[in-house]
Amino acid sequence: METLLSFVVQGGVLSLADSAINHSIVKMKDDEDKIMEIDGNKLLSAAGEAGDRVQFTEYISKNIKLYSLRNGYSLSTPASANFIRNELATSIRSHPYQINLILAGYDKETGPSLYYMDYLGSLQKLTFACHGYSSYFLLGLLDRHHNVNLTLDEGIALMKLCTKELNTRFLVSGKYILKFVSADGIKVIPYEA
Amino acid sequence: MARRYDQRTTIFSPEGRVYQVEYAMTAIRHAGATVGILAKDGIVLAAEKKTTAKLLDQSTTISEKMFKIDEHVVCAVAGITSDANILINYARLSSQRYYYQYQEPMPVEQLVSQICDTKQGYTQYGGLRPFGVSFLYAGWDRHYGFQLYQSDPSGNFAGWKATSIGGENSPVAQSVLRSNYKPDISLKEALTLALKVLTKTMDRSNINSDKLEFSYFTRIGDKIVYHILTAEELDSFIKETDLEPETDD
Amino acid sequence: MSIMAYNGGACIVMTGKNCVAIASDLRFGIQQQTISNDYPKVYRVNDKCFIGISGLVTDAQTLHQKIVFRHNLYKLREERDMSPKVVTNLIANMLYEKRFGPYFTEPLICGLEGPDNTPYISGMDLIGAQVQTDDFLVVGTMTPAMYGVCETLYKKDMNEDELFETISQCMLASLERDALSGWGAVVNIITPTKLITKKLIGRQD
Repeated sequence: METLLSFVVQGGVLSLADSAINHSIVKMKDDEDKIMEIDGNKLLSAAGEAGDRVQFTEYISKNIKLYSLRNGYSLSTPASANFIRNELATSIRSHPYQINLILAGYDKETGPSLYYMDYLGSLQKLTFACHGYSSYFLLGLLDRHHNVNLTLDEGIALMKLCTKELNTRFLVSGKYILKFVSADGIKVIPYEA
Repeated sequence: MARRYDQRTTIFSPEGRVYQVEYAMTAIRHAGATVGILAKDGIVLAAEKKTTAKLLDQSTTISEKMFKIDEHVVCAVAGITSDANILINYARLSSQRYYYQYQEPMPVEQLVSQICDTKQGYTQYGGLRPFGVSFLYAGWDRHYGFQLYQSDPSGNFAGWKATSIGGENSPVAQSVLRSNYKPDISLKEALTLALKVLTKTMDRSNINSDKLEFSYFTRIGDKIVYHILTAEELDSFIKETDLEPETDD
Repeated sequence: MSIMAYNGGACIVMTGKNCVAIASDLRFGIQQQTISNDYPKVYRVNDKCFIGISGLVTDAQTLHQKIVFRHNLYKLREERDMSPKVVTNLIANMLYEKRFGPYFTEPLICGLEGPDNTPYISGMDLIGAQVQTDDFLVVGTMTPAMYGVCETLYKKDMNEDELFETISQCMLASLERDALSGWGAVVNIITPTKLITKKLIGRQD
């Protein structure tokens, strides 16, 4: 039921996640941050099983931090994505994590990049990605309206278009968190759906 | 005095030394000298060959002293070859394990650090003797470009612009390097300097492709190029380098 | 839905005269939803050996990474590349190791064997049961269709161009009819002197 949406724009990546925690028919929390900030230049959005989400993203985030403390430079986005994929693929047959992830990052040499991962450990580099039921509503919209040369403002407008569609046709509505990662680091963009 | 404190690696002497480690470093002096020089566009590794018996079948070996650890890291060895083989195998596994996890080549310093952590373990745990090998590692990564590292049996390592390991005349080699090294030396000049160093530390009669191994490690475009000079290339290089006349000293 | 059909996909290997070809589709999907249309399932092991891994994508990626690991070490220790026969035996061994918790993948191997560059293809099931043939092999979600069209169009001793034409037609014909594979295909032809890679554009659905 959770929504994750990310796409690449000029100079960075926009990541959106819904901020609701629901238990059965009750909305327990409406301002949960599901987008973990890693190393100042990566965003890891996660959706899925409640405990797994926090445990896994914290485990990954701290390991990546440890790498940068040990070596004096941080892991690149593709290396982080492969590291996460390996963790998921190793745990799937012993202690599976039921979470789907999107890793968005900005590297100085290669620019913005976006990696889609499912809970089994499949990894794919994409220019836009969605997880959850929202993907049925939004992938078509993004196929039509997205391109990598959108400016930040055009990107935010596209996000508004997406959440408007969800509010119209998707039965779960609520608040969202929007973050932007670029050469200047991570910015939280105030977002009213 | 040393007799009481040198039988085991797991004890310090009263002067604060671990004798087994020092004895391991002495063992390396019996090996052939190896020189490494960091140039602005690559790295030169040169070594003196010690196993040159006539009946040795060397048709299938590529090198006695130099080994590839991965596409972007090579090393030269001084010391007990069998000990070196274990560590080189470990280095290759380490490098592949890193690539498996991150799908990126392992940064050179991290690789050297891992091997040295293994070497250090043999000076503190288990009561086993240390590895009697020193290495010169030459590598390239996107963080720090070309790098040259040296490690010894104690597990210490450091980055160098030019250094030598092994051989009885190591101090002579180091002083030649110190006086002749320039910060923006080119690969070609580094090859010449390496030859000069070995000429000063070895018998003049041994300066030929039978007793020497030269290699260079550089980058052409996006590709790493690692080349061990063939016998013909080395002999012609020695001939064209104007070696100083022998002096009596 | 079967685990092998969860992500969809299709691969074909075929032999010709002094050449081999390997092709795969480009779809990466999660059941009925397409995630990416740029996910080839063919990987280069070395200049004389290519593998195609269909099945569950996470296992295909893991298996490929493990093969690269083993091949790099082999190259460093043996100072030569792995021949296709050796690659086949390696993969079969790796798959059987996981006999009671297998990788859900069906790899195909193709290459040129030995100093004579004899065309070689082989394949196996998810627990490493090997088969070597001298004409063609197929794996994926539409194997009945692929077998049919390959059997019809295949001839012995085709040259590079005929081989390319044949394997492309087989691939496209099967993809058009399968919902779980498609979005175009990539074809690799291996000859003793060159490697040719071409992308096919079929129905983009």
